[in-house]
Amino acid sequence: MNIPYTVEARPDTGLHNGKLGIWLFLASEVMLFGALFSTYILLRVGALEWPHGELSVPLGMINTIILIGSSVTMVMAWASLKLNDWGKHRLYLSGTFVLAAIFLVNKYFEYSEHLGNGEGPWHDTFFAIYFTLTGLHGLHIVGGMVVMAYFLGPGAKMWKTNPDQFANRIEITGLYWHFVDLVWIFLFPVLYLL
Amino acid sequence: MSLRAFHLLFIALSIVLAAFFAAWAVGQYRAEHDISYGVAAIAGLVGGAGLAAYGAAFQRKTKNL
Repeated sequence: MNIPYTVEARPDTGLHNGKLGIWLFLASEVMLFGALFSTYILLRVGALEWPHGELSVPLGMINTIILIGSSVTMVMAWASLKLNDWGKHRLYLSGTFVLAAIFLVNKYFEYSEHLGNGEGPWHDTFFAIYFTLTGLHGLHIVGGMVVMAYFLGPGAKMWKTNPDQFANRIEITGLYWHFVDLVWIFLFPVLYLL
Repeated sequence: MSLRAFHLLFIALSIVLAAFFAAWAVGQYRAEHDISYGVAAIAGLVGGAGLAAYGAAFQRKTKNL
């Protein structure tokens, strides 16, 4: 069976299947994180006192720089495919994967320090929402890494049989990755600075 | 929205974050007079300017993608 609109845009939506699918998925993600951010605001507004300076700003800033850098390598991985440069695509996609891994290692150290001090999600409302928001975000990072690993491994062979569809898949992965990075751009000031 | 457009939006919001971080660091410096906050404020401004330059270059170089 031949599935239509995997490469070319569908006339009525102006999108190919994958791009329509990822935007529908990202819309559901906006609702998920939006609900959690709303929860944070309600908890904070309703609290008599809210802790400040509980989190390491330098570590949070380093992770912000890492994720901004990973968005650059991700878009370059896609642009390299558009320019038919397979070698650079592999380099940039691997770079994105490594940056994501470094982000998680930093997060591991941050979590370890807090948990070692008895500051788990049970400690207070702040740490409950902190672990919920950053934990869910971390799971999205892991999800992105799984997809990137697939395209660095078994999924890469599609480049030889259907390069246009492969480039579309990398673009879709990039859209997801940018959304995950965007969530962090909001998480960092809300949790670490304010 | 394409990845190119989403990337430009992301860079624009990152510039806003860099400016916000610099303003936060200035506020902290005024309250605590710790030089590290002054350095952080300058780093935020430099980072924001760097992102703006990158965004402009990215937009120019990827017009035909």
